Amino acid sequence: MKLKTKDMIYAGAFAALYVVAVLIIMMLVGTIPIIYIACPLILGVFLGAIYLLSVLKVRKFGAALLMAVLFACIATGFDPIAFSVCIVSALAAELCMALGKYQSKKMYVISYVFFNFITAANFFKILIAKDAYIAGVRAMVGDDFADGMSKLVTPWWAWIMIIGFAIVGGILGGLLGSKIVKKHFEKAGIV
Amino acid sequence: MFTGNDNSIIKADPRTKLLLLIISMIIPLKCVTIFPSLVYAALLCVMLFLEGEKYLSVISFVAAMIIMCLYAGAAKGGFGSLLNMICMSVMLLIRFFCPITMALMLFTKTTDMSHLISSFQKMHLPMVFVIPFVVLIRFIPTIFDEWDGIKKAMLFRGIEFKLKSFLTKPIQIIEYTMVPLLFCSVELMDELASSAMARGLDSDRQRSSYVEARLGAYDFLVILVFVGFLAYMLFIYQ
Amino acid sequence: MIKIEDVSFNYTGDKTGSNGIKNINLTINKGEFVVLCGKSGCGKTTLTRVINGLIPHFYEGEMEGSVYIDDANITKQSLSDISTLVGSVFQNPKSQFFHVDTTGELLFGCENHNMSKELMEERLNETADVLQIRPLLNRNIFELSGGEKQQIACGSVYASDPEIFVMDEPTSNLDRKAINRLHHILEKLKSDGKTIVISEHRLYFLIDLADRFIYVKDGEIAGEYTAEEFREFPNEKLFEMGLRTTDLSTVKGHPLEGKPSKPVVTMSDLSCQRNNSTILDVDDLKLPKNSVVAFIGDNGTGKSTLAEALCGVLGSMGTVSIDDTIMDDKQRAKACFMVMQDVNRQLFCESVLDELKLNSDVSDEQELTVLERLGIDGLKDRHPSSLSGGQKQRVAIASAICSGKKIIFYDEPTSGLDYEGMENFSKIIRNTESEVEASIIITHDLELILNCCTHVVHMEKGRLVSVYPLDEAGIDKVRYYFTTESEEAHTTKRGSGSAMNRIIERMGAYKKHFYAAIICMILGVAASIFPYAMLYKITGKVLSEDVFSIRDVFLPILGIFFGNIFYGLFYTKGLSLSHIAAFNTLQAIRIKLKDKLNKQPIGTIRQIGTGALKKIFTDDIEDIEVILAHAIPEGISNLLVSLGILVFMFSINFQLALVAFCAVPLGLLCMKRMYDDGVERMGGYFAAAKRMNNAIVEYINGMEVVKVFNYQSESYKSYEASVVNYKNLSLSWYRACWPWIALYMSLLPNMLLFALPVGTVLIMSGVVAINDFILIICMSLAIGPHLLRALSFASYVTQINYKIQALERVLDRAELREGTESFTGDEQLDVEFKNVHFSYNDNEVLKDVSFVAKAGEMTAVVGESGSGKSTIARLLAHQYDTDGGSITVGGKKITDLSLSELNSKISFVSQEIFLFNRSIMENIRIGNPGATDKMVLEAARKAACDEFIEKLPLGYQTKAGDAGKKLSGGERQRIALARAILKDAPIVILDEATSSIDLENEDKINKAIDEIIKGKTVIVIAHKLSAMRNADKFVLIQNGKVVGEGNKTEIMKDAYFKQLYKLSKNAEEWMVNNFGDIKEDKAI
Repeated sequence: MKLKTKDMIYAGAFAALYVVAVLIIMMLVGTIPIIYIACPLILGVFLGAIYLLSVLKVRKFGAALLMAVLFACIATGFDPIAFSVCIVSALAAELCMALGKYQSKKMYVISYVFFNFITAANFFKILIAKDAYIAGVRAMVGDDFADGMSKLVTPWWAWIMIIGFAIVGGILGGLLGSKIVKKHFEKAGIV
Repeated sequence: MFTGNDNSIIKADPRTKLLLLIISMIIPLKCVTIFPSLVYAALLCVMLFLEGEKYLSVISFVAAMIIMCLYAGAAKGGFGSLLNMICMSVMLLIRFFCPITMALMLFTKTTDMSHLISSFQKMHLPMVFVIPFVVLIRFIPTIFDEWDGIKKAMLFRGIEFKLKSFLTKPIQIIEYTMVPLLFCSVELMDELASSAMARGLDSDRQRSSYVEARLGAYDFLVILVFVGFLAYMLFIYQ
Repeated sequence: MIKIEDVSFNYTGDKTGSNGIKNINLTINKGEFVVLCGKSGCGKTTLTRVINGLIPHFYEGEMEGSVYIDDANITKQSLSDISTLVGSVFQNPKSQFFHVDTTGELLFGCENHNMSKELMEERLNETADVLQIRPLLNRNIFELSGGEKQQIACGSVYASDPEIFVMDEPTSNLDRKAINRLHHILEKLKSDGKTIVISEHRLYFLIDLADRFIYVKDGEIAGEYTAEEFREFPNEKLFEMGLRTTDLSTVKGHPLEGKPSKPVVTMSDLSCQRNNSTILDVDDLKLPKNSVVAFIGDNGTGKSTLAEALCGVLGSMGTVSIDDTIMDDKQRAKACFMVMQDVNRQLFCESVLDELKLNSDVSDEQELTVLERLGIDGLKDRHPSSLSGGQKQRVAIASAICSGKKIIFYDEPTSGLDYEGMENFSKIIRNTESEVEASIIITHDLELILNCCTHVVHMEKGRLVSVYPLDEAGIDKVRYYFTTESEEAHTTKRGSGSAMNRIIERMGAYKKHFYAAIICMILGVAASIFPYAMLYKITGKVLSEDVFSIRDVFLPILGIFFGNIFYGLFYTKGLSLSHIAAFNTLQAIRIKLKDKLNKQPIGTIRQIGTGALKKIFTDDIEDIEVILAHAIPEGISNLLVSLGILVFMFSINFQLALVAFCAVPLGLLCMKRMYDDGVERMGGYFAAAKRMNNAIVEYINGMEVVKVFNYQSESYKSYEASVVNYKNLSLSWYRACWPWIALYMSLLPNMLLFALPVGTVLIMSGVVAINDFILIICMSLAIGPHLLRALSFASYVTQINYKIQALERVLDRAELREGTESFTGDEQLDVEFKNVHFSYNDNEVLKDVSFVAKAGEMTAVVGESGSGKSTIARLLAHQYDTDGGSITVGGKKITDLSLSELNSKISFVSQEIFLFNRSIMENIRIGNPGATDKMVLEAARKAACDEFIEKLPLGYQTKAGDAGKKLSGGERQRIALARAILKDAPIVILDEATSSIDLENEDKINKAIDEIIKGKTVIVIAHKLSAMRNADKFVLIQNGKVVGEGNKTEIMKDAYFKQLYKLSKNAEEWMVNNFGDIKEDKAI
């Protein structure tokens, strides 16, 4: 099934909603910078409802992918690494939904776990780009500094932590989102 | 975002600016020393200036200078202490994002929507991307507007949107923010979609464009300078 | 041609079947203007959607039947094909545009139809010209008002040139001005022969355009009427059908009875700022208890801002008290509630009952009683968002009552509601009176106001225009407001400059000096740093070499010497340049302000107050001097150099610089706290200063009265109160600031405090070289005082905004409307008043005054005092602008004439005569500055001035004293007459010109007057009927209305006139003397 013009408008509008919600939450959280690192978790929990409502309203291939691509355009500054993270996670989410034949509630919730990785895209960018950068620093400043830096900036557990946050955020957000959708939007007859 | 401005001296094509954005992502990876980084920042500032963001260009150049000086200071301090390491890392990070931020500003602040759409069409991007992108940009201010209203409504009902209340009762806060936001937006979306389609928007049809994005001599000059700079950097630091 | 054949439609998921349509058969001919009307939810919107193809192509549901446009079945065509035939405009201006810029939006349809670029260019130009929206091109859509957005929406449709226009409630969010514009556009479309189908609740503005009204009821067509038939329907019949009125002037109101109650909401000096400009400026407003107040005014005039500021959800300055307790924002948000236009925003829960329970502790029974009263108890388990608009509104009201709110605001509650909905809403307002102390309704709906409001607050440009109760006069006034057309004016592109930019803009040619001053000062400050660098050189030498010669030190010492000299030189030069720029700017501002003031209506000037004006002209402008000459240039230069040095320090040694610098953030923190406090109090402080100024001026001006009547205590009370208030506010401000000032003053200069000990440790541990350490020390010593100086100006920076705005607020009041036309010289200067309305603030003085004063005739305006006679004279002299109607002189509107052209044609002798403290000769010469002494003497003689002037010690060279105090009232009036004689203008207005003249001179003066008014157009206003014995025409004014006019014969028959002149003391005598001939006439 192809996306219709109407679906495209919905996709764009929901992406806008998603982006604005991210900004609002970042403003709220931004008062304490340490929490930044937990962004995938916090954003994940908040944004589940938006994601679920958007894919439930369209129920076709492409809704999640479009949202991810648009989010990447705004939030990652066209960075290739972050962009590909977004696209890969959105594709995984699309696959999930397709497996559920766009009907299964469970698969929608699971797809959000994958989709939520886009909130961690910027962290992945730093983690990945750092290697390239350290290589540059090594050439210029020397091995000592480069080694020290790589230890300091990105310890191995940073990866695990961020991925963990993204997954936990995805699960919580998916469950909460489906609850909200059921409680409000199905009752009001919107989905 | 993407509202453009009226006081540009020369306007580059959006595609050129996109290219600059990509170059600006590679440059900080490749060019570590201070002087070339400053030169690059200066080039971007000149672009900003020509595109009409005069204050912004001056301010960002001064900021770039300050960042580079501080970075030089941090780099001088030796690598011994932890304090130094942290200072250095922070400065490295800031320096890393400095050109990207500038290029992003150049792209988003000086490009207007019509040119952007036209250049998207020239790049043969599918309508399935272009339409949602336009809607995205157009919808963001609307949603902020809605959010303003919702925040006020929450005040009347004694719901506080603050970090504290978020930490104590997260589920309620999420529900009370998301429910009105989604209901309002869904209604607006329906209205937007119906009005756009009633005026003939159709992704399967050929669309013409009033504003035409065109690559001119100026664009080629800019591309030449920036690509040349990148090539030179790659050549030196290979 | 549109042909709808047996169409039925039901939306999917809609069980109740409302909004659906059944068996519609309808033919609309080409070029016809059809209005669909009916109750909310009757299916008229669905009908429009059937025509523009959104049904069945966009909205899902079951559809039967078919729709043809020019024989093509559009149910089978795609939406984009239909869109070439049918253009659609929708209800909500904010959601129906696709682009962010207006030009793109106008051409959106054309681009979709794949038009060529040339064709689009042509369409764009035509659209802009035909719909008169050229000023809106190339704008950001988000800055447009709702009405302008709707214009763009119409334009976008017009540009793609369809034959059929379908509009779905286009006015439901619009104000009166925007409806006028839409009316113009519709007129244009109709004359172009387009077919128009419009679904609308507001019918009054369509009545002159429509060809056919189709009444839809429960999804079926229940009646078709021609415009003539429809116009004849009385309001009662329309209301029965659930329709709004077709003629606003027939709407009836219930005049308010009973005494005014005490105020429940009181606010003073409330102001509000957004994007560097003041959007709300309310001096004083009281809302009485148990009142229903309507806030009216065009969109964007600050009604919502005022409401939100009162509710405490929008940051504002000023004091608001509810029930006699002053409340801050948070408390107000607790006590108030606002039912928003978009109710969706304030429904949070999953059922109506939950909604009421949210953050309130009402019991279930209480909830149910509230719901029952509002008539929604049957919906208690429904999801709020599944309800209709009106029902949602009631849920929100119920939630407000349940949480014990005292004051409820409603933001356009009846937009898009039918008559029944409006009626229900008014009932609810009345029903909630017991719990709610005041209801405030922001609205554009006259029917609603007359149905349930008790008071009206009229706003314009963020200020109150008038506040009045809805008694008989109030009802007329508010009805008049809604039935007149307001002027066409587009919002202008917003200036985005900060206060700093705007003040620099005002410098004009002296900008160069200003920038040069900054550069000089930067050089100066930099030079002052130089000695410290040299100091470092010397110490470096001392430390590194065992022996050093004088020669090593000589150059650095020379450097120190020259550094200081250059510092002094450059800094002084900079200061002198900045002062040149500053004082020239002040001059320019004062001149500009004066010009601006000249064009203001007298009323505005009185309203601002002499004291406040004096403060603006002297103090406020003077304050800008400090900002321009010192704060900005010195602040910038000191700060820039300090920052530069700081950066330099960081690049020398990161750790040491960090340590040296750490006192600065601490100091800044203190400073920030201080300013946060200050900004909060500043509004109140300046307001208090303004009030004190006015009180002092009033006290001094009224000194005479105070002394004579021993009014000391009363008048002193208000004087004292304002002074004490000012003292308290300033003291509390200072008290809050002092500790912070002390803290940052002691912290900031002590950059060494941390640098010295930590630095020593670092040197001892070998991390830092001693050279670097000394350099850092020298540099921090060098920038300490500069930093402090820069920061000491920070307080001014916070004030810049306020000061500039205070100035700009004076400048941005509506000027007198002035044109550029002038007289050719051979017109008959008839004066005509046509339906003139005018009010001084709250009370309407002139109500629909029309009369003609023929050229060369004498027209007398007669009436009791306070009936508005003098107002007529002032309006003709263009001291004020009318609220409505027009005044023409020689067939030209006075608003189209330039003020100076009008003034040259009018001599105005008023009751209050002001003499400048110059010689009497000069005072008379004001009438005609080009007159020779001889002419002046001649005029004075004619006005019977010469006798008293010659008795004065210096004759014509005597000074008139302050405001002419040395002369008596009668003498001043004679001088005024002399002025008029000298001026010899073709129109003469005599407003009680002889009121203070004693009997013995009266004859003489009357003769003088007779002479000067020969052959002129004269308008006489007088109490003494004797003053108008020669009038050719009388205009009788009672309570601001013309109750009779005619020549002597006719007017004498008027009962009111008889009564009037019986009252006149000299009436009898006068009748014998002057009206004898009339009696004879009658007899004949």
